[in-house]
Amino acid sequence: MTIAVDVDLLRQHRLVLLAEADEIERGSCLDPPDAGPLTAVTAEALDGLSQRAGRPAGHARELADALERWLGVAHATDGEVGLGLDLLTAQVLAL
Amino acid sequence: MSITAVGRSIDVGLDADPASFMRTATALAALAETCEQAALVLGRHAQLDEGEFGGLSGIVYRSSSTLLEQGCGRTGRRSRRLAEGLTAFAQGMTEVRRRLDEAVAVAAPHLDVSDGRIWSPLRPAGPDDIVTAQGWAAWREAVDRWRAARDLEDQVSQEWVRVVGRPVLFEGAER
Repeated sequence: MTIAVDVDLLRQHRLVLLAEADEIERGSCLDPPDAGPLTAVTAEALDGLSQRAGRPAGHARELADALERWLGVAHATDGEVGLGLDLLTAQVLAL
Repeated sequence: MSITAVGRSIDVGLDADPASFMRTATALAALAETCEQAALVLGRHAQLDEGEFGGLSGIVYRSSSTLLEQGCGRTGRRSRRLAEGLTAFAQGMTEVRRRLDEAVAVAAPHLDVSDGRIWSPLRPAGPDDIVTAQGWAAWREAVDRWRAARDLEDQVSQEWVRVVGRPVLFEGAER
């Protein structure tokens, strides 16, 4: 028994995940505006958002790495993976 | 402050810089767009067909992609809210600046305007003192405009604080 795996598609997914992580991280570097007495409050809110944006970016990178590991371990060059290996390796893809 | 008090002044300066708000608001809107696009892409990953990635691995992968999609969506919504709030703050402060400038324009022909302040006339108007009477009239109108500007500044500031202080509890809810 085997499971179906589109190796090329998953490799594309990995690249997409890395690209999205890069984009989000680039966009989350925010210069706080000069808001007068509210400058500190504003800077704190923007800092919180940057940290928040860092989480999905980091997770996207983790998932991309996990996909790479999974594909490496599975040796799925023929597009099919055995059920035993599937059960053993599935958790590597969990966030 | 009594507007007929002699030797008083009102501050017509504005510390905040609306142009810098707009730059940050634009950056926030771009981040929102990026996160929303990422959520769309990850949503497609989360719907990968069994025939393309089957078994338990496929299920776990789709689940992780769904979590990522949701995380990007939440960040996008938060970013969008801040962008809109900051844009409103910028527009409000631009209006405050305009009203303060109006106060200065009213005062300038009749009163001392210096060091970012408008100064009241130095003495009460006598019965026949037309120049000082005009000065007091200008002072009263300038103070009225200044109060309206500061009231608006207060409203705009409170609204921005409300936006940035929105509890995390509501972050997952749709707007």
